[in-house]
Amino acid sequence: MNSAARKLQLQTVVKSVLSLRPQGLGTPPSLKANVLQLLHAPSDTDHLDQLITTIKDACAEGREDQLMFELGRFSDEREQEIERLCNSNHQDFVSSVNQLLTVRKGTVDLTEEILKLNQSIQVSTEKLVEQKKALVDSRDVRQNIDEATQALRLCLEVLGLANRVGDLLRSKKHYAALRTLDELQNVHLKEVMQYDVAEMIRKSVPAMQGMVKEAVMTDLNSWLYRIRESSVLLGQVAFDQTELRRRRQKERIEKSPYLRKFSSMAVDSSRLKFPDIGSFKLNSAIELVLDEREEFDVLNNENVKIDFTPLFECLHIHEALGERDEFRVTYANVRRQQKELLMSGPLNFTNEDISGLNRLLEDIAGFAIVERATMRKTMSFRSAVDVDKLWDSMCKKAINTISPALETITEADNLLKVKNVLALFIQTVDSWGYSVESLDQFLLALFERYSERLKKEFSIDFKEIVTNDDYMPMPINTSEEYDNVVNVSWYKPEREREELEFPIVLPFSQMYPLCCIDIRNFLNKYYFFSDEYFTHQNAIDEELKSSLDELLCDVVCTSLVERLNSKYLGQIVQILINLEQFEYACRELEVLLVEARQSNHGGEISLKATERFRAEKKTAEKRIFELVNSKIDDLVETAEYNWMATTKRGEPSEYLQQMTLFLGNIMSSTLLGLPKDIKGLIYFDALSHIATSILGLPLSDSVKKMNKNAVADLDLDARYLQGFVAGLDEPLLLQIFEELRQTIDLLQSDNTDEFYSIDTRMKKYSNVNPLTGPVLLEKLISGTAKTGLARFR
Amino acid sequence: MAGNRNYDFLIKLLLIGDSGVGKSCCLLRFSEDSFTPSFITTIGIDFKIRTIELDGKRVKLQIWDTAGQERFRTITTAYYRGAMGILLVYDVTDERSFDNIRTWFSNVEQHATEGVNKILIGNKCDWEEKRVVSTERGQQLADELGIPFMEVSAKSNINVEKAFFNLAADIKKRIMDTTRAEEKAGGAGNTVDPGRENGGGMGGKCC
Repeated sequence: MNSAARKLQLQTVVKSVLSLRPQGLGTPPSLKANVLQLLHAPSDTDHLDQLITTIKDACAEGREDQLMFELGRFSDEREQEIERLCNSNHQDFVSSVNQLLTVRKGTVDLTEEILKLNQSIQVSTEKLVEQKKALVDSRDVRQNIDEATQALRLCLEVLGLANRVGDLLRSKKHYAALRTLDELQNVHLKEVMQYDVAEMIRKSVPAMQGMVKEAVMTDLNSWLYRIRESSVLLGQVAFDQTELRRRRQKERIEKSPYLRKFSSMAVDSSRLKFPDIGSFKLNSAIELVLDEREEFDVLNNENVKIDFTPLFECLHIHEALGERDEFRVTYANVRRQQKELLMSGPLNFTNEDISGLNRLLEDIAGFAIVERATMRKTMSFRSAVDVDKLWDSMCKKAINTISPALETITEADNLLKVKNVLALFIQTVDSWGYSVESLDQFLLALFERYSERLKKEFSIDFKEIVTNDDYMPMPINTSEEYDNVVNVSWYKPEREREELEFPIVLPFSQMYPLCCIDIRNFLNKYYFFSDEYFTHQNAIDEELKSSLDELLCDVVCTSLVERLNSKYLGQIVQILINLEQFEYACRELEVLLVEARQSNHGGEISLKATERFRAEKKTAEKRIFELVNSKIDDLVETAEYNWMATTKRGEPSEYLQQMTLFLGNIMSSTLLGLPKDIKGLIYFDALSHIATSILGLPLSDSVKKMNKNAVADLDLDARYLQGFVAGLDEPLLLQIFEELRQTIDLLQSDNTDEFYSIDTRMKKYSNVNPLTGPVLLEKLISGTAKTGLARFR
Repeated sequence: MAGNRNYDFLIKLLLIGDSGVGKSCCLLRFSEDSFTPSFITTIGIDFKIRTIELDGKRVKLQIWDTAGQERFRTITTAYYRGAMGILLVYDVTDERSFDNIRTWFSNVEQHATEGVNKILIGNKCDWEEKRVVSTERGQQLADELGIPFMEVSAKSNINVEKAFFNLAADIKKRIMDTTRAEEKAGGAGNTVDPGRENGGGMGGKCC
């Protein structure tokens, strides 16, 4: 039972008790009335309330006793009434009391029961409270658990992210790793900042960033290593590409009439090779535009694949980390170190093997291309200044490496090979926008060296040709042979090819065509140097001219002139003819050099050699005179004149016969090839020498006297000579013997006084030497004294 | 009298033989005691002078060097007549040049003065490893032709001097003999042979 129930029970009990009491007895009227009223009030509540008010009023009026009395009286009245009632109703009453007692007992039982119930309720409530308490407790625990779970979940998430960073790192997703890290730091960590683990993770973020950086740096380093490894190959591919472009450019020039028009300005008439005109060369604007269609990525093709991703990633990561500048510096340093590795060892051209140079230049080109490509692919990551500085230092170092190695190269052809590799290199790097000025300068130095070597090589060649020549007019047996010789030689044939009947003999000896071939080769080799690429064209022109001049003068001409000491007339004649040919060749070369000139400036070219050959022709001529005259002297020395002969000889002296035979023979054999004017001069000189020598014979001190027979012999000889000269059909030569003729005429004259008379002397003996004439007359007089006397007799 | 003479005898010699056998080299060796390794072909005709002493006499040798090449044959043949001695030269390393000696010899018979002195010369005898003509064969041919024989080397200066001296001495002897015979015969029986006449003129009455 609950308390409300109990209350109800109690009220009922009180009501019933009160209702039993007599009302309003013995009290003042008001009070009595009140009490009566009270006791008769229809409801318990009312009369109780009124009772309270009544009691209160009584107390206030000090009529408690009265009230008590009233009440007591009322009670007595009631009691009497009750007693009367009871008397009348005793039985009823007793039974009622019994009933009441029963009720009371019931009530007690009930109360007991209620109490029991109450107790049991109490007990069960206690349990309930306990349980409730437990419930509350467990609710708390549960909340705690929930919170802990939440925290753990957050932490797990953070940890998971942190782990993910590691996973991403492992799977090379560096940026994702970094992003995750960033997210972790900026979003997730903030949520769990209250936990120690968050602090720990927060503290480890820089380290993890470091790991990312390290990872990308590792990747970059291995990338850099790969780049280094493939740099040679890259260079090779770039070189090949440049070569391909050269070929395409040539084809284009061949195909296009417009381009050809300019290129063909250099006609290949002289078999010299002319390089293309400047504006169409490689890396010119025109070439670049024309070549645009050809797409080829040097950095990405079937041979080389350079993937810049690791660099980009690294850069990206560093940018994300805000360390772009630091990375720039680091990268620049690494590249600088790599550059140092490029040319770490000395270059070696042992046995003229220049393959090392190829490798070196390919390596440098590969390196430079990667640099430029990096520059282009990244925004201001590699500074132009830095790259150019690196490039300059590479060039400088390359030149310093190559220069000493060149010392061991002795063959010009190998220097040319070096140049060709360098040219390919220059054109390649030029197309990548690198400055090639210092390399151009180096090429110029190389050219000077090349020229020096060429001069040496050719001067050896020329000397050998000059030494081994047979100094004989060159016999030609067939028209093919003729063509071969004439095509290489600067030679103007006197007759048309069609008129020739083989075998023939060309005027020059074989040294001439050999030298011509050599000269052509020499010129070609100079121009070979400017093939494809050379910026110092005028250096070639200048150097070629002076070198050629030097070779022609100092080697060819000087060697020939040295040979003039020879005692073989035939050889000297041949030298003279060759000198003449060379003079002609020089004039042709002067024209050729102007035509072949690479640079556009400058007027005529004149070689010193031209004048030199011309001048030395005179030396040779003199030497021929000298030799012919010495032969004449030799023959005159065998003259046999009997100055006091008893009889006339009747036929010309044998030495003269031999002399004319000899002269005629050498003219038609040894001297045959000489130009006509020189032959005439030789005759003139030789015959003058004969005339003087013959005249000298009777003038000799050993001849004291002579007679008319001897004079007659002389006369016969003089006539013989004059006859010989007349047969030569050279009118000028006839006057050579005038002195001899007139002197003999004088000696044969019966009237020698005519000589002493100025008039007649000028008329008849004008050519007689006024000093020697009288001497001879004296000798004749001495010799003919006897006969003269006889005649007088 | 002739006042210009610096010799007692003038002897004219002639070198013949195939091209390349070394005639000019022999002459260069004899006249100037030098040698040139380069090949120099004689074009047409040339001569050199050397004065030697034989038995106290100054003998002036005028030696004509001919071109061996066929194309100069007409020129060179003209010199056979004036020659007093002829050196027929072959190359011991060249069989053909040796074979051709017979042709050269018959040319001599045809064009030279009768009784002209001859000598067979085998040049380049220093070049043993290349030799194809043995000394015996040379001697055999000389015997057959009835002329003296000598192997020489212009390059190594072997026997060159001796060859010329021997020939000159033989000629001198012949001239002296002829002169004596002429003197005995009172100058009769002289022919127009210029060589002998000349030689006689010199050999006989000088100094």
